Amino acid sequence: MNNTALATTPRSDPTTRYISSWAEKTIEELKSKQLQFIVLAKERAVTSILESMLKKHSPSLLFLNGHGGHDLVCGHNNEVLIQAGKNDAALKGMVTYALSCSSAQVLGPAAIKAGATAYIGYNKDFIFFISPEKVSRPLEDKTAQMFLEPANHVIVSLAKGHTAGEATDASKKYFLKGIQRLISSESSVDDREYIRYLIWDMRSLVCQGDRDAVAVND
Amino acid sequence: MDTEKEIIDLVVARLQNLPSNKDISIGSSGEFTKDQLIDHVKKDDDVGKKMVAVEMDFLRSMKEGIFYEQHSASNNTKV
Repeated sequence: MNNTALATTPRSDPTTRYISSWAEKTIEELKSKQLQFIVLAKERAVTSILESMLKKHSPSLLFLNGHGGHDLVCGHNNEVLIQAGKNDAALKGMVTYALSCSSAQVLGPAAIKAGATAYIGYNKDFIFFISPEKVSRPLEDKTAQMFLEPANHVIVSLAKGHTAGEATDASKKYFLKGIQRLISSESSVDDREYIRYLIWDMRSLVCQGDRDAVAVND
Repeated sequence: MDTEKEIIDLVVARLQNLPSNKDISIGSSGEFTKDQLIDHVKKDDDVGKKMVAVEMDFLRSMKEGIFYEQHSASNNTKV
């Protein structure tokens, strides 16, 4: 296993623009870490390129960003990238984190059965809030940040050498810290309305397969 | 008034407290304004049912004391 990570960052609508912008920011900040990222952005986040890059680089970590369903994760323009029963074996031998809706329901277990080391994902919809005036500048959106920073903490933790289980717990802890901050008297009444959605995302995040798996080897 | 109607009324009341200047992204269902969300809940369609599920999950998490106990935040599964 080498210390290479592959990430898909499609941008076909406001939701994918947001999650991909925050994913790329996270990856940029991890540049000095041991893990070397290859990013398939926008129209490169398609099945043919992903499968070819998986074969060529045999990454230890796959970071999928995009719309999803129970048994699939999509790329650019909602092209299905990975689907249970179709090409889930492409995840064999690696740790995958899917910042995508619901894919831990069917795709995650199917990928583990097909030989994936660990699958971290959401077993329900991933929900977050957007400030409409920031849609063209997602990284300036402090409301979206409350959701996307803890979600991306899975990758930060994996890149630091933590196990899949530890990375999942670290992300949940990050969500919880944000929730506790919002409960405190310092937060605005408006901001407190986000608490139930942060709890939803935190509780939907699961780690399947080998919780002791790592994406970084010494 | 049946329980289902009471739950929908509760969720609509909660959604009315959301800031009006924010949209919500619900994955592949799309992005919605507060008023659109309230309409979906009143129609009891797929998006509306998701909002009801969020509220029910929130009430369950309060019962479990999730705000203060970090261990209860973890619901990882092994496959």
